[in-house]
Amino acid sequence: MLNLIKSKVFLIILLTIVLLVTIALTANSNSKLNWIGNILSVPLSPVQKLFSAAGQKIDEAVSFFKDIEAIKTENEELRKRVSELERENRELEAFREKNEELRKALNLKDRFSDYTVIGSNVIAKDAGNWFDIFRIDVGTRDGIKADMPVVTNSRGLVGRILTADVTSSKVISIIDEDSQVAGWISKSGGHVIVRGDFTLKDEGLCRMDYIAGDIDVEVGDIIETSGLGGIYPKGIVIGEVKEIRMINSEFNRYAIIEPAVDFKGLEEVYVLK
Amino acid sequence: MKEKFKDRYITLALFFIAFGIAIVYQLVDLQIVNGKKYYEDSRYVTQKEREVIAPRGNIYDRNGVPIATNKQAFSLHIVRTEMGNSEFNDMIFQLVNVMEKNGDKFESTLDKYLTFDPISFNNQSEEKIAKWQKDVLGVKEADIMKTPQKVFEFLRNKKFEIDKKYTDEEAYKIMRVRHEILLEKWKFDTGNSICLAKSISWETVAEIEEKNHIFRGISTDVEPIRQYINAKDVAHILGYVRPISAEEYKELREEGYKNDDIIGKTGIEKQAERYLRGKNGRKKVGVDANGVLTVDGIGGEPAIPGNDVVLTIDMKLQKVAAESLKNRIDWIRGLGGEKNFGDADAGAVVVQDVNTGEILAMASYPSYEPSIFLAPSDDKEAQQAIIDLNDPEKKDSSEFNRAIQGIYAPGSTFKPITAIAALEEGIITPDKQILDSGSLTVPGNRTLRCLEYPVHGHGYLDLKKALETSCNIYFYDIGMNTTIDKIDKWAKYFGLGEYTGIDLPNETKGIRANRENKQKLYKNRVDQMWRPVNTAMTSIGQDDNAFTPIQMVNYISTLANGGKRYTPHLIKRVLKYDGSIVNETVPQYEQIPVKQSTIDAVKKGMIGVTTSIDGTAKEAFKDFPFEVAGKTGTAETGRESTQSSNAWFVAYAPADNPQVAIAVVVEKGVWGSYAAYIARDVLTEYFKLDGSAKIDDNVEPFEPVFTR
Repeated sequence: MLNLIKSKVFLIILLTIVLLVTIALTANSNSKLNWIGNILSVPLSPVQKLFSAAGQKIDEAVSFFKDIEAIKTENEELRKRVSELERENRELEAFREKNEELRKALNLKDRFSDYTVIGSNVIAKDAGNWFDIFRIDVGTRDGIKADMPVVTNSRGLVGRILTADVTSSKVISIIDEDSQVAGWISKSGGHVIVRGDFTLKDEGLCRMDYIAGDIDVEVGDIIETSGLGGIYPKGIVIGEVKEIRMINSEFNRYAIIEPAVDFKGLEEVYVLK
Repeated sequence: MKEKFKDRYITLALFFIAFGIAIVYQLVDLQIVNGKKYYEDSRYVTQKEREVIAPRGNIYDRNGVPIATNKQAFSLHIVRTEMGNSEFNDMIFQLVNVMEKNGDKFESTLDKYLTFDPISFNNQSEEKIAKWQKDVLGVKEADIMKTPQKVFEFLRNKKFEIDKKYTDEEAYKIMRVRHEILLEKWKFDTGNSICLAKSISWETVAEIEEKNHIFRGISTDVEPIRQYINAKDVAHILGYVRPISAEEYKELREEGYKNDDIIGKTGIEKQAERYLRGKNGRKKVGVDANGVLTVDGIGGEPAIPGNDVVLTIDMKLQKVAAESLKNRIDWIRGLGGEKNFGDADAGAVVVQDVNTGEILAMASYPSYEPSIFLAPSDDKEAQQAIIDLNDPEKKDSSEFNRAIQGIYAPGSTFKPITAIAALEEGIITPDKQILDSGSLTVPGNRTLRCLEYPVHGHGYLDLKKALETSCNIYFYDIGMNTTIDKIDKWAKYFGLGEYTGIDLPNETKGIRANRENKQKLYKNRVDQMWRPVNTAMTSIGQDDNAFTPIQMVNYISTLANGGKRYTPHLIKRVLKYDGSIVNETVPQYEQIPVKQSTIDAVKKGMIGVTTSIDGTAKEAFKDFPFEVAGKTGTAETGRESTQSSNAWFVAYAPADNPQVAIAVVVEKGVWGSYAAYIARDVLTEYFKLDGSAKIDDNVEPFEPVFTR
């Protein structure tokens, strides 16, 4: 009996120590390159997925009660619009089908013929609404290595592989503040740097710097990768110019970029190997 | 016994529950309540402010043509991150490779003390090497190394711990970069960034930025740097910027200048320094836990660009003036003739708006390319051009602005002043006939001869005829009667031998021939004495008279506009970066007490110079569509046995409704009538006339054997 209790206490203490050590190890480094996290992530990824889904559900419920008054009045207007939209929707459905066909024709593989395109699913992401850093279900087993570019099927730039584990990999997206991409203004032909920004990230946007003084840039201009940075190949669409800001001279001019990729609802991405 | 264990179990359970609650509470606090703040804190481990260089104001001509602007240049910086020597060296080596691939160069001071291939102290003195080892490398007095090989090994193995896998050459490349950091060790160790290279290529920027997770602690920045656009024609007006000197820094540090600032050294760049200089801003730069640099736009202070300066210069006219000056000088050299030594080699042209005092063009020859002062120190061609510019033996280029710094005897271009003095002081009337019998004997028994007709003279002359033919005897006569003090009074009224107050640095005052200056200029008592012959010589613009082209053009403008002596100026207005006006130059003038009848009488003679059969500049202005009031001057330098006389031409146009005045001087230009061709070229451009008197072999230059 005494032995049993003794061993129970011992077990608890041992377990506590192990947990504390784990916490200490994982908490000590605030680096994104966290190997223990990576080891754990393999078995934990389904759990993570569940939690992030549940988190979103709770968010939705809370906002529902908050906005109930506003919703009531809106409801009326929306009803009217529903029928209108239903008609529009049927039209759009036709367009969508056409689009799908065309997209198949523009096979991704043709665009990046030098690369092998590996499809993958998003399995986990950091807390928050945006996919700034997330995990996908392909890893070194599939030939994935750090710094491989990640795109969507519509030729939009997602980001690059941050780290690769055996069965999964972490992706750092272009809205993360550690990301910088050598870009190119397709229309006027100027070199720029597109970087993630700590504040803009919350709106799913990027910032574009180093716009030369003699370069014309306008809202709506398409920004592509220039291929000069050594990581991303040339010609992947980063996004379009949403706004141009200037304080007092061309030397502090920068632009806000709306990425081509919707970083709120990523499900499938492609790694260029 | 069992009970007791149960109690203990409950206690333990309670303890764990309490423990759990505490953890959950902390977790909620960390993640939700203050989650954002902690996250931010974790990202910005170190936050430093970095200076943002403000662009210098642009300089434009009167029509908005840019002369000086800024272009974007990229610089490379490094900030300290937690890396071991081995990892750090690997990163530096990768950086070196990227830079080399794109042809970019690091700033390197190691080369000064230690070279590679062969390894040497680069001929530095022993003391300097010892001082370097102590101050920069941190070597103790007792351990100072005597051979460059030892220093090399020390740096490679001990100081920087460069891995064996690198060859000596590769190691040296790593050393050069690390030495640069060592120079500013204190700054680096306290988390500030060190500039490693300036003006790097876009290819390097793209790679460094995109691979910022590899190049940890490395960042690029954009800085405005000065550029001049087709500025050779306007070099002397524009001036240039250069790094601040030790003396300037000492003087200006209280105004916020730093010891690595650039500053206007000459010309408008210097004159308008206070307008052109911007106010540097600051931005926050954070290094996150990964050693990646992040720039936070919030909380900084934007750089405020310097104000733009709009000049009164018309670049098109300036270009014509500069080119005509150069081409006509070459042309004069080749003309030949008895008095032409083929030595014309320099000159100046100034064009002024007679109704505002604005300088529309101001060229000085020889000129230089101001961009050579903006070139990087490794641009050998530019550095050689600077050396040549400062070499008095090399005469192809010159910083000397002859238009405001060169002083020349005005010769016959002074005669209108003598005429004005005589008219105003009631000595003559315009119609008074004076006899030139070929010579004139002045008190002191000196006989002065008429150069044109030394035996029988011009005969009787009135003022108009005297100005047209530039008869010396007439002006000796009226000058002597007017007396020196009164001539001097009127020369001063017209601003000769006085600072014009033009908005450029280093204007020369010039000298008026008068009693006072005689005393100052000569030591010998005999030479200090003012004699009648001095008055005679002053009357024809010789003696001690020496004026700048800017004074001459201003005198002609004053004559043209009815006696308003404007302050000549080059800065038309100053604009803020948003286009609002900071300063608009209001023309300032002094009315001088000259009668309109006097001005009209002189004008008649000056029109004759370019139109009448005896006019000294009639060839140059043949078929000119309207009348120009001019005066030639062939100024003797006293060295006529070995070199040509200086050539002057002054004019205003149109004669009946004056808009613009011009003064031209050509050093060793032989005859004033030659200089008149330059004035014609410039006036043709100003009035947008066709059929400019182009230089070609068909033009038969009029060689005035007699007139001056």
